[in-house]
Amino acid sequence: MLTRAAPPRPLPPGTLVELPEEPTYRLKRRLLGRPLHTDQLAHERLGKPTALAVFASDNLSSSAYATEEILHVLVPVVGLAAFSLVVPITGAMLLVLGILILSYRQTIKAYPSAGGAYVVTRDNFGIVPAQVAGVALLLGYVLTVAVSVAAGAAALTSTFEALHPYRVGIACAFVAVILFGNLRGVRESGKVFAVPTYFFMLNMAVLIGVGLARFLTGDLPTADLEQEGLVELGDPGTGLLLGASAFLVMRAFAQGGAAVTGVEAISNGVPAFKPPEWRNARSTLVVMGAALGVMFFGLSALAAEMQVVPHEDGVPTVISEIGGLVYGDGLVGQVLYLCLQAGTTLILILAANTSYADFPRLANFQAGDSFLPRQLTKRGHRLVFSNGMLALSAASLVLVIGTGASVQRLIPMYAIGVFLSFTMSQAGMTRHHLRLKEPGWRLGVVINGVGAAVCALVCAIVAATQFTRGAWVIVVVVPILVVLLLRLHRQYVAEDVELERDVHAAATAPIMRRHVVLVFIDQLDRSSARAIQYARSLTPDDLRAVHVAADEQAAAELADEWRRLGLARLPLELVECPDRRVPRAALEVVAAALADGQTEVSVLIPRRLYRRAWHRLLHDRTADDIAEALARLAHANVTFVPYHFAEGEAVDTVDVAAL
Amino acid sequence: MVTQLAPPQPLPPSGRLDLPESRAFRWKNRLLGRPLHTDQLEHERLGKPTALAVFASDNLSSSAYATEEILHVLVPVIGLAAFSLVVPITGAMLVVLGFLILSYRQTIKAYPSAGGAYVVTRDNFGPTAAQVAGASLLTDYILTVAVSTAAGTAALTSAFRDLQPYTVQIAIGFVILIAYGNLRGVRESGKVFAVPTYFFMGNMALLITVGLVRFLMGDLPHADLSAEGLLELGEGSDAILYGAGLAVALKAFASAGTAVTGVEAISNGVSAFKVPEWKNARTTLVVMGSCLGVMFLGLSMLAAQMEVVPFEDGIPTVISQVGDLVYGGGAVGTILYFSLQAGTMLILVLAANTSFADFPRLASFQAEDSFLPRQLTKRGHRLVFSNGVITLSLAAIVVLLGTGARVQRLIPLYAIGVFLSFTLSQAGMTRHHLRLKEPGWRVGLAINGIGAVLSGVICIVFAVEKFTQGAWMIVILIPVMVVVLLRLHHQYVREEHELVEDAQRAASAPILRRHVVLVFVDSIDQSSARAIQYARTLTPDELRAVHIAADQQQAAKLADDWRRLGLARLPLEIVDCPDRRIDRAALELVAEIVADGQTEVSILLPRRLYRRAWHKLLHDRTADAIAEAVAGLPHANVTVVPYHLQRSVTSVPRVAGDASAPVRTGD
Repeated sequence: MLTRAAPPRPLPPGTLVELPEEPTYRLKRRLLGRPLHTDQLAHERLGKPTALAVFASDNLSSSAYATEEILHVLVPVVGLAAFSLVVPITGAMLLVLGILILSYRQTIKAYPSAGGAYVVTRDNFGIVPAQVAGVALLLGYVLTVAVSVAAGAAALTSTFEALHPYRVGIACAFVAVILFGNLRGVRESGKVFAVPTYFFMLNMAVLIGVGLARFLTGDLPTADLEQEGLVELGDPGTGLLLGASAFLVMRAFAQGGAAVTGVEAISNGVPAFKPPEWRNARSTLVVMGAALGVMFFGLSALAAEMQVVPHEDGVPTVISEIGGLVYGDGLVGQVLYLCLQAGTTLILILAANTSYADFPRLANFQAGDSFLPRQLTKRGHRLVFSNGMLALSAASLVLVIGTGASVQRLIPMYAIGVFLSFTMSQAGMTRHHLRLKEPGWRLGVVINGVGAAVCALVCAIVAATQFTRGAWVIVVVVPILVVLLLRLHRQYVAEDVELERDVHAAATAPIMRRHVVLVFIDQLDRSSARAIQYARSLTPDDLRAVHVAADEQAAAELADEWRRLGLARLPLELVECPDRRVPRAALEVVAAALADGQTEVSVLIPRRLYRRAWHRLLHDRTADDIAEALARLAHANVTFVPYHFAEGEAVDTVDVAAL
Repeated sequence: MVTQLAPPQPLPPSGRLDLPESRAFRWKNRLLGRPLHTDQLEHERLGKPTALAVFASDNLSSSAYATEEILHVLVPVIGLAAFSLVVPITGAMLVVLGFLILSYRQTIKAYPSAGGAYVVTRDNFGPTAAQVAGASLLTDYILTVAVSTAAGTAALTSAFRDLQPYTVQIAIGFVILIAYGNLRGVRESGKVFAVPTYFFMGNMALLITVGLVRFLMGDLPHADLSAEGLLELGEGSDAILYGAGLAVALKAFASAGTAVTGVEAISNGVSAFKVPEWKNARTTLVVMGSCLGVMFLGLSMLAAQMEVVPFEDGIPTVISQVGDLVYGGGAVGTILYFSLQAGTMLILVLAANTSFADFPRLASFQAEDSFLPRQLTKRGHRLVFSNGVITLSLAAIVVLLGTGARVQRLIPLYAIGVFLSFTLSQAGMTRHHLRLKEPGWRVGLAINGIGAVLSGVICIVFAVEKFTQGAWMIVILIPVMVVVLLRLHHQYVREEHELVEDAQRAASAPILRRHVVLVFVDSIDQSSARAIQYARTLTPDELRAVHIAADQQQAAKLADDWRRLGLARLPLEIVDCPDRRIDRAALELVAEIVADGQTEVSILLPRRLYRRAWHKLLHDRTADAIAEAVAGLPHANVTVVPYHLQRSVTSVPRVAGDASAPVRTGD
């Protein structure tokens, strides 16, 4: 108590190191783990099997829904004839896949450090077209999360049908869990990824193997077409396409395009491979493509053979029905079926997880180039780009909730962005070959040229056939976002130009002719005394105390006390304020002091720092309002002089009745 | 543009008085009217007729629902026998009213400046006891708003049944409308108030007269007892009180207590009367009491005579039924009926309005005594206590939402606070007489003593009888509020004590031994250049430029630029920050400097002020975070050095093909 009475109150030397952390920070640490230092940024190198697991989950998981999406387009129109069309369409898509893999082999070699569509486009076409690729990719990542969690929720609810009503909730929960894991900083480490990826691949192998065996022995069952909730069957026609119009086939093809999404993942992550990076990356790419091809084709063939009609609302899924039929009802069959569903759910969640690595990284690139808000370049508590992750989660939650977590409604939006970025990337590679003319460039031009053309074609097919079903959203959103990004960039550049102009002259400019210090005083107390003490240490040319008199009576009392305490050396200026707008009056006083253009004004505002939030609520925020109002004036420098209330029960002798 | 290039940039001298108002202020001006100056605060003096209109609306409007509330208690228990009991109960309440008026005549004389329960209690029992009166009055003002708007809405929906589904919305709409009017500063001026008050009184006089005439002529009709939605009739008997237990009678009596609410209004406003204030106020008080008595008794008698059974959900109201029956279905009757309903609605809304004058005033008294947040003492744009007005409206809206704007559910909460404040005020007056022993104090003592006991008894009856119907909320709420107010007061006194203690010595304390200025530099640009220029102005003992290096690469580039620009005279210090918590690093740095207790530190933060809100969104708020973090240290003075970005930058190169555009290659 007694030591508190004597001003100034120095910080006791002993407490120097004792700066307790804030409660919010402690909560953050408990939730996310200990903070990571910048130099703890690890760059793990992956062997081929692990790399396959890490990079392939997005791509391979597409096989879980691609067949179903094709059938969903065909069955309502051509009925059972769909099963004759699904395999050829799958084949066509696999052809596209092959071309893409050949093309990306080129990209991997040309851009061994980071060959994402954004970088390739930027290098070859410049910064503006790169924004188109960037926007397409960002949307693709958002949709990957949305589609994957929706499909994962569908896989789960196919197994446990009681959960069906909570589909949207489950999908949202998946997003939340993935976000939390990533904010904590789940590393792209082999173990976590290898298990579900290989587990899924194994399950698919077993499924296709058993299916093939039962087909060869001739006891493959066919699906029950009388079930409730199935898609209504159309009438098959005759002719080459069995009654389906060319448009319909193309639409089915477009819907199946979702299968090849994620094929670019390896080319983004070449530096993560063990050396020789590009060679390992290339062979992993081929393995991935082959695995996807087998799974996709196998599933389509089985579905066609057993005539599995998809359900109207997508649950149970086609893959779940195939599993149920192929494995049968026996105990072993049941176990295998559950394994298949578990594997599907897991890999889908993992696929969503890969977007959490890619989206923040790409956003960081774009923000670094000043095309997205700079905050996206900041690494958070655990070294991850937390802001990017939050943005991704928010966007995908909007999509999941908006579409009711329906895969079918998400797919039309999905493939278009992906193929747009493929196109840009392949076209960029073509340009790359033409510019540099490295050895073997002619072959490269052909491969990438064909790749670009095929991707552009698919992109156009998707846009045309799916336009009314949701693709229009992307067709509208991409240009808008690109314009927005360019506008944003312009603003950043304008600011930089202005801030950096004549820096040298500014930094060595002479000081202003006069320095006036104004201490704003509300009442004569220890906090104002502190401000006066500080004001003196500034050695100004002119030091004045100012009181804005919103209340005449209080002002008169203050002036009286000022005289009584013998503070006459420091003149007190009373500013009339009949409209009680203290910030405005303060603004006018300071503006008058600044009027000659040769004066630097320091405005000192005593700020009382309360120990508890509710103590603060008992007082108004005039000080802050004054500071905000003064921010408009150049050369008005506002200083808050802190006054800290004592800890603990400082005054416990106060008697309320003694008022 | 060209003049802006050369730093330092002075404010153009001509621009001194050219400080445009902020947009928010311009909106406020448009919405609320031009700001009023403090010396425009008017103190209107009211003649007796106007004063009656101004102060009586709350009290007189109670007659619109008091009879109904009595019947609502009696009818379900004793059926038609209720109509024999309603008049005696009304009479009993009028006796209470008589005593209250006698008591308040004493108060008016003793406290001619402001004789509210709060002031009287504070003067005679001290500030702690006064908080009980204050808390009960505040709750009561809130409930007055809620009850009056709910009853006003009932009057409206009784006349226009289609509006009934929107009861809550209409009631809230009334509250918002009244709040808006008060924020603009509706004066307590005679004209506005006189019209509805006298209109209502005229309508009531007509209703009772017509009723009386028809009764004397013997053609007063009876209500239709088979209408749908009526309360179910209980079984009466011939025993004393017609089979109603004492409890039921007391409960009905307690309900009737709502009729006398608002009787204290005149004593709060004595200073607004023309001289001789206290004499005029006393006369007006007596007139008000008589009017209320006539209207209340008249309505109760008519209801009893015509056997008007209230409706289960309160719509149509009893007064509306009485009007309908008395006036009949003719054209003239219909017009008179609508005129009655309009008058009822208007006076009820007006009654709510009086709370909007009283609540903010009482709250500002209490806040001045440091028992409520100080913000409540501030007069707003139009000289009204805007914070009090807003608080009252929000509280009333919450109450309306909670009760579905139903008068029956509000009444049990209502009168208890009123009678508690009556009791305290009368007890205070009793003490006043005992202390001062002015001429005639014995009579005063008797009158106020009886008044206090009577109010106290009614208060207890009310609390007990209505406890389960909602009064418990008030019984709990008032003590809780009192404790909160006292706790709050304790905090204010502590702060004041600490701040004022030794202020003189503190004000003449010598300056600290050392003054260190730290300029936090993020990059070398115009804004940090400004900060450096300002830093030099301060002529510190030590001037340091500090960069906190969350990004090593950027820090190295900054150090390079620093050298290149020849700023070596001011050394740049680079502080490592591997955990990227810039605010924490700043805090640690400053803490180290102030640790000796003899150093004053000025922390200069360059702040860029953007032209548009969205420009600001493009940048993080690290400077604010630093300011907040170091605020925890003594002698750490944070200065914001402003740099204003220009309105439009015309020389921006186009994005495409721009070599100078910063392009980052991949990580």
